[in-house]
Amino acid sequence: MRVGQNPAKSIEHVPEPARVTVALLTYIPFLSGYYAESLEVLKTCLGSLWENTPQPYDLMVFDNASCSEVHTYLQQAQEQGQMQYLVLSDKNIGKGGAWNLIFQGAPGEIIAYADSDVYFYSGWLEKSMEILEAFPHVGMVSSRPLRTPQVYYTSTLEWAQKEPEATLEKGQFQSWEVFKEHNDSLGVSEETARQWFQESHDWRVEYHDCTAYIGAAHFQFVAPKSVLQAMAPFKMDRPMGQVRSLDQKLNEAGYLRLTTSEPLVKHLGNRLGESHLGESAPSTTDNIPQQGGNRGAPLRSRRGAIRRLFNLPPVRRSLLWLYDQIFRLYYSSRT
Amino acid sequence: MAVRPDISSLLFLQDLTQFSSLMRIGQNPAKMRGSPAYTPQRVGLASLTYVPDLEGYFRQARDVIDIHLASLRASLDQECDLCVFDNGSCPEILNFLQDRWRNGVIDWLFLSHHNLGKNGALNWIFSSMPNEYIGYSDSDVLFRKGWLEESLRIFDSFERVGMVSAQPVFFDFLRGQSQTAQRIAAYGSDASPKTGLRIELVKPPPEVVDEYCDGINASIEIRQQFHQTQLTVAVNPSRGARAVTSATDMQFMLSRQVARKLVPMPIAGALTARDAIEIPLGVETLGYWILSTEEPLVRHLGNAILDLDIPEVENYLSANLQTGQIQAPGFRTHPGPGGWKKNTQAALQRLIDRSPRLRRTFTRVYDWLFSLLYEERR
Repeated sequence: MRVGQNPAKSIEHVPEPARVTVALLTYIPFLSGYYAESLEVLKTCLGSLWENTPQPYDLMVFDNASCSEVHTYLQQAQEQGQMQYLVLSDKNIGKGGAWNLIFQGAPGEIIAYADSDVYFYSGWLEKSMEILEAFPHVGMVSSRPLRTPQVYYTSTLEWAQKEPEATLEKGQFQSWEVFKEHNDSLGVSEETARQWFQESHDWRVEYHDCTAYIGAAHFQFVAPKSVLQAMAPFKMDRPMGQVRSLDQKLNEAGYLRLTTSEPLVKHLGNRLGESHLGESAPSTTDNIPQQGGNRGAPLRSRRGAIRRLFNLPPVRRSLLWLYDQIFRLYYSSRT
Repeated sequence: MAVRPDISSLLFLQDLTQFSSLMRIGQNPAKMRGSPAYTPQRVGLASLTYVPDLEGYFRQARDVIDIHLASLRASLDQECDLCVFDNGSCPEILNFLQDRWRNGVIDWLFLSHHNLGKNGALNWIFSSMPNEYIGYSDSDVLFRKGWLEESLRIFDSFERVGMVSAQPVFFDFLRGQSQTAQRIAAYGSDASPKTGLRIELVKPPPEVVDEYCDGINASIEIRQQFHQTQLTVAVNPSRGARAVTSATDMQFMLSRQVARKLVPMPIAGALTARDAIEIPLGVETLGYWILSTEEPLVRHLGNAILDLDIPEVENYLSANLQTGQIQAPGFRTHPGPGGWKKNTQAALQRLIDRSPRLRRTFTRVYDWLFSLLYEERR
């Protein structure tokens, strides 16, 4: 029975949500193999966000069934008041599934989404918001120049070509270093990246004194919630690999897909790499475990005949199958 | 213009031997072909908790929530997604919820650092839950077997139903302005040859009235008043279905389609009477009916349960809570019977789960393979 009155009834004011909800999606099922350094990457990501985002925002982290070490870290961050919302899923509902929950439920008018392996530099939100507000009918703004497939930005190109107040230019505007940095993070060899760099180009558009590049990427973007809600629901029958549907839907609906002209975020990947060891934000330095031994360093000593054997396609395929089976055994109890 | 190939699709084919300082090493295992992701259940249930401390009004809150969650899971004969939205509770409750989440009782645990208000939480729940039907409950409600089936039967039996509660609702949340009974009567007379839909006035059994009054700790006057009250019941003879023409924000179900149309709801405070009527009012404004079961299939527990003479509570207290062992349908289970592949995988999973030694061995093999497949090639 009810005895007395619920004191919550006397709370007359509840906090208004910030205009921007920064939403991060995490999935680190265990801390070995591919994910060996993922917790450090996550800490670096959050540290850079806290350090380099002076604007008001609410932080929402959606955890898609990570391991207990990650939960402990996230829960501590929330207890310390550094995270307004933490959503823990006991199953991996896929990136699409998580997006459905994040985009529909985030309380802010603007959603700044990022995978949990992104480093934020000073000015990332400010510059992205400038573009979002200066250009009409914007679907998403990524905070670094990227050369993405044209099939996902035909509407943006068409708008820029037709809009009399927009100035459109085609050329090699981003530097090789900026291009290489992102491709490094994706594991692309320098040779291939250089070839892509030479064969492709940037589209730069200026509109009402605001400059942006054409193209955006789903690993990090700032977007109006109303636009993202209109794109949902996303198919969610695989954990990853169906995220292109957001790019496609936005383009088909005629929304602009843009990026900042400067690299204001950086994709970290699953390893911090030597260049990032000193780049983690001061607020999280204490939390970041030191890099151990030769982890991440090339294992040159093992090169030779054995390596060539393992690189034979049938052997490699068998090893990959075994690797995949162990992964499934680990994580299938969480799905 | 030349379109740059999709890097992710090419990555696996690359000769990685020249890499020196790459940030992504190997392929994300989650991207591997065929890795399954979760598909939402037909019904998603959400429960809202707010316990700022374990004193005074909230002294028994932990037990209340435990009984609430246990009864909810035990009442289910079908798999449902269960979300608990915590509106900024104290660390003891957070620890308890996380424990229940780890044990698979809760599927999605939403932790808000501050209290967004009941409607603030409902805005998130209604907007986000991916299920075809969304059930909501305060965290001080006891569930009985059959509540879900009966609620879904009402959805199936009444064409314009928008909101269904699983107890007969005596209290008029809309203060005499509810349109449901009137609309059903009008609909019935228009379409009676086909459906035979009609309204009946029914005097509920005294024990049902008493249970309802116990739940809200009703005064003697209100109790007497409710004992005199006749419930307005909608009857659909073609489906053999009956439902009371009212619903409560304490516990209800909506279709996702209706839930999405209700948001965003205004937030007047953390838990105000004004906010409480937003849902039934919103549902009726959209032209839908608000209904509830004739039988009490849920019960309001309130904040004081230890002295309650309720068999379900006594059973849970003596069995589930003392042992911490909860065995009920709806809990996470290992895969059922399947082919030899499925069974072997399930057996291996169980072995790995139970044996730290085996787990360590698998970890070593996994690490070795990762190193072999990716580190070697850098």
